[in-house]
Amino acid sequence: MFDRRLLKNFDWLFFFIVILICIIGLVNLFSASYQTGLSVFKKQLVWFTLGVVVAACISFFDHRSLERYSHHIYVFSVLLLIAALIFGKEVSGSKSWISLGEHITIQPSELAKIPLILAIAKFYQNDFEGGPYGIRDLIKPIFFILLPLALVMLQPDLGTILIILLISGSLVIFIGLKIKSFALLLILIIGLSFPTWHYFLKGYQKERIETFLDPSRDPLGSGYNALQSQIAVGSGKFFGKGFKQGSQAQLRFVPEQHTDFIYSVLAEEWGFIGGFFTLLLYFIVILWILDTASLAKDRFSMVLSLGIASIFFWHTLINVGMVTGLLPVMGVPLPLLSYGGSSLITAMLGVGIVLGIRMRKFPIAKEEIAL
Amino acid sequence: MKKTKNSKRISLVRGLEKPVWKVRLIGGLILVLFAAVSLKALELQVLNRDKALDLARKQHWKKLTLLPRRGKILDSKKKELAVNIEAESIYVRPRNILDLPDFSNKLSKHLNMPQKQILAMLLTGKPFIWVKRVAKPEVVAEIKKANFEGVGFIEEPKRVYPNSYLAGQILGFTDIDSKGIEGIEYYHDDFLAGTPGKIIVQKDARGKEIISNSVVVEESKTGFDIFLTIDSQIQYIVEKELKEGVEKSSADKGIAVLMKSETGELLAMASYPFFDPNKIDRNSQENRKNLPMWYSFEPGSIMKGFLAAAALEEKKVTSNSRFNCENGRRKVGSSIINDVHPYGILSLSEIIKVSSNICASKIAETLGKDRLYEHLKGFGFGEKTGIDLPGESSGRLRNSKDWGAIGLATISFGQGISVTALQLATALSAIANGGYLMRPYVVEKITDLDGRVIQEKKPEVVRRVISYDTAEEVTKILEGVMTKGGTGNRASIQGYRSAGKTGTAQVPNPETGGYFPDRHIASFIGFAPADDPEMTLVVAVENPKTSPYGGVVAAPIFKGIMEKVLFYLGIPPKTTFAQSRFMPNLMGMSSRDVLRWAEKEGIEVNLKGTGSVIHQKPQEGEIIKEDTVCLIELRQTI
Repeated sequence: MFDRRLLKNFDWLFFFIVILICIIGLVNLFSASYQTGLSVFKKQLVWFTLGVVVAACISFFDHRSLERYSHHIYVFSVLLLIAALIFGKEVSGSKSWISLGEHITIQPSELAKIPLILAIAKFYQNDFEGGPYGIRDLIKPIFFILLPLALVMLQPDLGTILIILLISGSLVIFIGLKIKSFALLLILIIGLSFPTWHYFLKGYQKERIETFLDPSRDPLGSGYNALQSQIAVGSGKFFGKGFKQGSQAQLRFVPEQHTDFIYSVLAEEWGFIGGFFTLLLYFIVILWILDTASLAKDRFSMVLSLGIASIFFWHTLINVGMVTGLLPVMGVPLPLLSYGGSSLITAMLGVGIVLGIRMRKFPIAKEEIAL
Repeated sequence: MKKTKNSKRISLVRGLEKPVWKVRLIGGLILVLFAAVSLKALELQVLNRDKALDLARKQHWKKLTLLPRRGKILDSKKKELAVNIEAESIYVRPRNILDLPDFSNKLSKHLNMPQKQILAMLLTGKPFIWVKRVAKPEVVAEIKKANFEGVGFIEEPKRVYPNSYLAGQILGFTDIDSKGIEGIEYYHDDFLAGTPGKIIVQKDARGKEIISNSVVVEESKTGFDIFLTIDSQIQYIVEKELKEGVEKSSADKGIAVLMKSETGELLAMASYPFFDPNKIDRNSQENRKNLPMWYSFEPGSIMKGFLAAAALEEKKVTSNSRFNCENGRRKVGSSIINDVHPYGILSLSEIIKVSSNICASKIAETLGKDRLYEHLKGFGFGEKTGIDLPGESSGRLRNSKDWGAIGLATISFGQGISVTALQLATALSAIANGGYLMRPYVVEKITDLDGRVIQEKKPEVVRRVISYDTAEEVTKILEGVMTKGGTGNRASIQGYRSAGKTGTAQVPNPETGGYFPDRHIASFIGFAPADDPEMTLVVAVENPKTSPYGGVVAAPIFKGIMEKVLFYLGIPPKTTFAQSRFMPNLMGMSSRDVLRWAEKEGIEVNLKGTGSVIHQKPQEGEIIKEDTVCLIELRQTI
């Protein structure tokens, strides 16, 4: 089963870039948590180690077996989402966490992203027609998307809903959608957004969007996060205040600075230079994954790569956009950098799958040509 | 399409005919969006950074005032009268407490305060609340041990007066924020307070200050030390004697001022009941008052001394001028003036010695209203002395135009005029020191932490009141008061010459416009030694029950204080004792007679045997020195 050529084709450079981002994240977390006893840093170190192992293992897995079990994996992730609604603990108004013992909590909505991509990829793999697709052709993937979406909506978790929609939507559109269907979806989304605003969004969610439009409206209330985060980023200036020197971070002015707002710590302590460099690394990683999509030998791995690129892209864009005040505050973590096991493992799973696809590109492709 | 390397690879994937442009498009889109985010970061971090920096500075740093240490108050011998200790104050941040009623209940047990009171304080909505300022160390330790969430401690200076009530009314006290409220603490607050420093402290998101990350902008400067002219040893003597005298006569209040006759420096100033500035709440408002300067009263016969001075200065009389005392009863206008004892013709000296009201009125008449008024004003009555203490009263001396028919007569023996003990002390000092009215003061010097003198008080002459000769003359007259048959006899101090005047005044009843029949102020003013005046002492006792007379109630207090203070200051006795310095002939006297003589003269004797004296050493006519012990031998003779 194990092929030595696989090791030869292992993309060390890509792996190194990912590890580099993880290390930046760990250094950053050290700074953000050393005043509170480093427990966050230590936990993340464990998750990081686990994540590297997971990525390595997954990369040596032939993704065809992933394809075979993708429905099972998808069903399992949906079951986890249901479990979260039943056994989950409520954190700031949403039931999105499951406790496994005292120290470990997992976030099924975070873990559901890869299985969703797997299910969608399997759909396209089995479909030989080729695009562009109409809505009627896409009933199955739409169902795959709506099921976890509905469960997350029950939690409810606005940020995750949006991110699932963006990840899967952009994927479906990228693969090919009829102009008519695209227009129809667009009208549908715009048409639904008004009743959603009035009937489905909770007060605090509306407030978040409103304060996004004008953060100084309520500096100590819901605009607090946004304002403090912008102060942190801004006061970092071009070169930053230095490791452990970010007063905004050290004095814990930015709420959620370990998780969703970790980029503010980075930007404050390492300045525009540090933030931009990290953003550049993300950009490279995403392009690398896109490149993997174009290298893919089959539709499954291609769609899978595109989906993973989509996950990385949207998370990064929305998170950094939110921290810098370009976008409203949404509970979206920054992959590899934010504290949190579920988010890190999801990202490392994606990295593992991409590595696996890249390892198998040439030899197998040659074989096929030979056939 | 299959010609390029890319398309060759991608063509393998079925159903994706034009993926290359799509991937490029997506890549481009991603680039644009990332560029947007980066531009936003650039805007925040480079273009608008000052705004963020300013906001950050505002919320991370807080300016705090560093309380300076308050200067000390010391006596003339550098003994500490007011010092600071560090005590911890307890505050609460109610936001950090979940169960306020339960918390206040627990805290009330430690603080010994009602739970409701604490809860009410915590519910005021303020983020920071003092629950106990300058708490006792054991209470602080207890609460620290209990380790409550939301409770904090700050060290604050606490003012402490180590000698409890000693000179309490002079020192005054401070409030909880170390601001002077009364006495020296108030009057010299600017010197004592010091300059607050500035410190910039980092604070975290919860508003908690992180002192370790602080920057001192300006060090606080410790306040200046104040040295008083008061000698606490003397103050102690004065207070002790005054208290005993007041208690002995079952009086309400006692006042004493001891002043250096030459300079106006105050050596002691006492008000009884005493006031302990360490226990502000437990003292009545009244006890805080420094009575010698705040309380004005009708002086009574004390004024006759100043009357005599005025009359002699104007050369209307001499000390031998004779007046008829009308046997104790004289009609002036529609009123009748009485003397305690009836007298006939008396000289000026004798009038003062026996304190005849009738003759005093006659002396006043020779002087006239305006002259008497001018002189009393000259002695400082009716105006503040200008002492360096707050809350001085000016007393009341009406203009001579308003004196009315009997005014001249009553003022001559101290009615219808009110004065403070301090005014009496400065006025009498003018007689003692040869005619100079001095400005009284209690602060000798003010120094900084290193002992450099910031301000030093020099004796200040307000004006010359009487001539040297008049002063001499009045002194002689006042010395007569102390002799046998004078009203001040009980104030005379063995071994020293002293001068003085008694006063027995009725207390005006503001409701009737007359006087209380049974309320008096018994007083005594005097100085010693009379031949070279060192100190002036004024003693006044309000509402004594045993006797109303100054000569009975106040004179012994004067004596008690003067005797001890003269001894303390090491002023040697040089006296009328000189006459008996020659050994008399004791031959044939009984042992009882010898002892009686020895006791009377204050001579130490060593008796041997019983019966009558057969041998004495020193011999008759030999000089007895102070340390001489007389050896007396006795034998039974039949």
